Amino acid sequence: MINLLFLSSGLFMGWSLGANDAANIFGTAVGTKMVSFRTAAGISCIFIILGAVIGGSGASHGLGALGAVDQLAGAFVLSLSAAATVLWMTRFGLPVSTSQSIVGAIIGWNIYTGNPTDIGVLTKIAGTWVYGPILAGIFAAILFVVVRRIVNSATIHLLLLDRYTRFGLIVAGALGAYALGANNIANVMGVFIQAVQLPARQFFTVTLTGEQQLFLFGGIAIAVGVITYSKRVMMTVGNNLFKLSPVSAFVVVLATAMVLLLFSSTELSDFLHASGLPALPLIPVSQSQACVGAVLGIGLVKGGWRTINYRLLSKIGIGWITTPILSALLTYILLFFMQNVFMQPIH
Amino acid sequence: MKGKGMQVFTNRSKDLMETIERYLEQITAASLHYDEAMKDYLEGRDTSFDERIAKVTEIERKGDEDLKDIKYKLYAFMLIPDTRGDVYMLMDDLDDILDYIKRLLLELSMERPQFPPCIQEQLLRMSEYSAKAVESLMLGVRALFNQTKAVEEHVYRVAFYEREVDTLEEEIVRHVFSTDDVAQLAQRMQIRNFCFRIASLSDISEDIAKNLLVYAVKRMV
Repeated sequence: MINLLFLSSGLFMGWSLGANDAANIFGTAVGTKMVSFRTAAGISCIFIILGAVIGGSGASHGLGALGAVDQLAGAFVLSLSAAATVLWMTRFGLPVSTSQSIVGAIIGWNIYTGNPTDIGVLTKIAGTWVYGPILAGIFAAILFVVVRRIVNSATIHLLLLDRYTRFGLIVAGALGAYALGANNIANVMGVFIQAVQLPARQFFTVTLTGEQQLFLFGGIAIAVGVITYSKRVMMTVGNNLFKLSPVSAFVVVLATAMVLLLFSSTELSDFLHASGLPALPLIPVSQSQACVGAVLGIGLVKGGWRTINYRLLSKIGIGWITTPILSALLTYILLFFMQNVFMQPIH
Repeated sequence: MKGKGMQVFTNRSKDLMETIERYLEQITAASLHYDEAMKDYLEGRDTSFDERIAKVTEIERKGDEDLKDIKYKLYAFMLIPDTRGDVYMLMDDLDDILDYIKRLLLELSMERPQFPPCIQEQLLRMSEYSAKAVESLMLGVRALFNQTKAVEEHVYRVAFYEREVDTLEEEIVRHVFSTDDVAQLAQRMQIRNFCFRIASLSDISEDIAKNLLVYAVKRMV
């Protein structure tokens, strides 16, 4: 029971992720009524959970290299601080990243407990905040040029194109949901890996390790967020924030999914290592900011530099700095309370 | 609604494609009947002329049903959300052509204007070019659905035939008001009126073609 209480902050983080980030996957599709919310939610839930359980390990261990939280109470505080920071920043209308918030919380824990922060790891992580969206923009621009050439040149009937686009949105959405689960489960359950040691269990014909069970709980929390709250956000995204055509939305979702998978795939990382090539760090990447990068990439192809929303970019830049700092500060304060008021071990 | 969320796996798109194709065929058929009806009228084949009117009336009725069906399916099946409004307006505008052809032939049938032999050849060419303007428009509409880059070429043809019709209209009216073959002012005015109405068919086609060009640009990714 006490374990569940301490896991609650992570589960809340998962719910929040599902409520907000699923909209980046199916927002345009649902908002334009290409795909019904029920279909979008169903596909999101299934593939987020699959991604979390099957592919969540890479990014989680990447985050663990920054700071290994070994007590449940400490992990609870980290997750709570990160979630609170995300909520707080969202109220200010800033496009905040849960990944950056968790990183700040881990640094706060490091400072409080006296654990040294590996600057090399931190630099790698901070680097992904910059080149994650840039990579998404490049992928989106290339994909958009290819898709545009195909759509404009081919003699596909408008109604058939509509059918293919719906199918494409569903496939891209499934891939996007899997990538979100695989990459961002680290934000939800990553801090609990060291603190919660569950024995391996058999579920029907599948054996899940303790880590995978944690990811399953986190994935279910994300799925609950999708079902209970994401529709409202999807309608906003579909009609307001990103006014994308269905074809452009397909490109954005695909490009974002590719970036998230790149930063969470252990297979790809091993392959690059074996080939003597520099591997990408396996780190949770902000899906929202990757989305922004992808939309900007399409905008650059369509209309050049004048389409860049510098105001939005500056807001994101401010978020890179303020989110980790706020999260670290809040973590430090809450750890003090947890250790000295509630008398719980945090390290 | 059953299967609402999984339209990709149903034949609703194909169903609407067939309905639209049927509707476009009605309009093409009506313009062909119109051209033949004008020949029948000018050459005095009254029985054949009346049969053509009956056919056009039937085509117009079927066209109205197909249009209603198209409008319903576009929104009920939530197809092509980003271009649905344009397709809706286009189909609605095309109905004007059907209505106009039917009305024009009925007015010919009711008023029975007498066209002197000296202008009959030009009248035939005028109605032929009006029919060609409609035909080019229909090719442009099909290109909007299948091959957007070809729309501009068909729109150009519509504009060409419309200009030719306008030139013929002016020639006929000038001749009617200067020749002794048409003595009565009332008859001259009636002929002028019908020339204007025949020419209006190509004007309607050109107006729709201009919108078609905009829809084609919007359709490009």
